[in-house]
Parts: sequence; structure tokens; C-alpha cells
Amino acid sequence: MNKIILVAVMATFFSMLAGKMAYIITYSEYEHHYPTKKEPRKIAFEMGMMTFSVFFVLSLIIVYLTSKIY
Amino acid sequence: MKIFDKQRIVRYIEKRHLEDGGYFFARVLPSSGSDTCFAVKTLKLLNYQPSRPKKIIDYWQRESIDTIYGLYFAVETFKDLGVDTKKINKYSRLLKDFEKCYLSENSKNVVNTKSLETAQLCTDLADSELTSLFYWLSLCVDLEISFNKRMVIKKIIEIRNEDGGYGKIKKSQIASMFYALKIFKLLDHDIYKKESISYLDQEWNKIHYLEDFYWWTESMEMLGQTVDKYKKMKLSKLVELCQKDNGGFSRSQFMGIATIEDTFYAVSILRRLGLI
Repeated sequence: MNKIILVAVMATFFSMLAGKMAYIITYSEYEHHYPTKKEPRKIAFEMGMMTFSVFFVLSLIIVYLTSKIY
Repeated sequence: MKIFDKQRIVRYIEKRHLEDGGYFFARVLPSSGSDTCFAVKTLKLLNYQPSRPKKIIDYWQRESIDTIYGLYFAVETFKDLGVDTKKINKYSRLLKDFEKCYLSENSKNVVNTKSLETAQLCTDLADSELTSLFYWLSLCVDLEISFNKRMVIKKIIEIRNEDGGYGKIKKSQIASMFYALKIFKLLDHDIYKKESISYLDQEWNKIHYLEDFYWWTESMEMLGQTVDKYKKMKLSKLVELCQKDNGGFSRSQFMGIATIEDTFYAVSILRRLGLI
């Protein structure tokens, strides 16, 4: 049980980091594209959330698979 | 040295003029503000008028601008199209807010202290910590808005390094040298010629991308220096290798697709070398 909590905490931490990076990269690209702040922020937020979700789900799948093997 | 075909470059740019009046290298709506500005500037460098200037003006007038970047690109486009920029001085509040945020006595000794901007600089997503400051200053001058000249100079001097370059967060950057010189020129301030030339000489062997060569060439021009024959040959070859089949230029000879921004850098370099 402790192992699962540790993995969940780590998955959340690294997925948040990936999401944040995706937000910064997307915002940087779009801030020159749009003359307002609203659109770049919206698109960057969507991209950040999507990246977070993908990394989090991937982490859970890896944990599930490795727990089956070991 | 190769003489470049102007018409081919113009065709590349005009093919990217979209329905909403702006330009975008990817040719999908909505248009990009920066690409629209760079497209008009490139056409001007090539002595061509955009085919539908009215649509470009409409594009900017439709947009509600609330960023320094957006306003800078709009004003630069208007200037290049010969439109009176005084029509857009309703943005003076935006410029005053910037001054309060970045140029107060209490702000830290780097120009951009907002965490997102610092993150962009540290991850190489922003050119220089002086970009916003230059855009803001250029807007204040164009729109005739008063500003604290002494504070602007103070902020730049604070990020001046021993090697003659400028930059605090990531140390000396070629882009920061370019923007610092631009700002000093706008303010009619001493440009520290000797130290700046020494820095640019050191940087020549460290730069690889088209934008770096653009900043280097423009900085040399601002310092009143002529580019020697060997460097001219190297620059000409590099720009030639960056040109793609569609007539546009990419940032490197080894990778990337052509963009309007890189095409602007390439054309500016070619103009300085007298090859266009």
C-alpha cells in the first residue's frame, strides 16, 4: 500500500512538472501569435492539462504492469 | 557571392497572406501578429508593397490588443504601411502599467522579474531579457508617451557584464546586445563601442542560427563596423543554405521549415551584405 502511495505521489509530481513545461512552451509560442493574453493562456492551459493527463495515465499503466511482473 | 531572387521570396510571403487580413507561415487561420509584422517588414526591405494593405490594417484594427508584444507588432506594421500611429494612442495605459511594473525603483535589478518570463528565458524560449523593454520603449517613442529615461539606462547598465555583453539571468546573450544597442540608440546614449565590438568578435564563433547572425550583423551596423570579406562569404553561404524550395528561409541549414520570421532575418542580412 505504501509503495502505491509513493508511486502515486511521484507520478503526480512529475506529471505536474511535464504539464507546467508544456504550459510554458505553448504560451511562449502563442504569445507572439495573438495580440491578447487570453487566447495564449487558454491554449497553454489546455496543453498543460493534456500533458499532465497523458503522463499521469502512462505512469499508472507502468506501475500496473511492473507490479504484475514483480 | 550568390544574388538572391527577390520575386521568389515575395511569392513565398504573399502565399501566406490569409483571409483574415494577416499572415501566418503555416497558412491556417487565425493569422499571427508577429508573422504579419515580419511579412510587411520583409516586403518593405524588398521594395514591394503588400498586395492587400487595407486588409492588413483591418486585421489589426479588429484585434483588441492587451500585450506589449501585440501592440509593438501592430505599431510596427502601421509604420511600415505608412499609417498614422497616433490613432492608437489609447494604449498609453498599457505602457504606463509596464513602466510601473518593471521600471520602478523597487523592482529587482533584472528587467523581467515575472516568474513566467524568467522560466521562458531559462528554457531558451525567449530571446532576451531586454526584448519587452525595447518593445515598450519603442512604443513610448512612437506614440509620444513620456517615460523615465534615467531609469531605463540604469536598468541596462545593471545587466552589463565584464565581457562587454548584456544579460543577468543567462549571462551575456547576442540578442541582449542587439536590444541594448537599439535602446541606447533610441535614447541617444553612449553605446560602449569598444567593449561591444570586443564582445561581438568573441561571439562570432559561438553563434549558429539565422536569428543570431541577424542580431550580430545588425549590432555591427549600429556600431558602425563593416563586416570583413571572410565573414561576408560565410554569412552569404549560410543564408543560401537556409533557403528552402518554397523560397522562404529556415533558422538553420540542417533542420526546420521556412518561416516568415526567419525569412525576415535572412532578407535583413542579405540587405546588409548588398546581395538583394
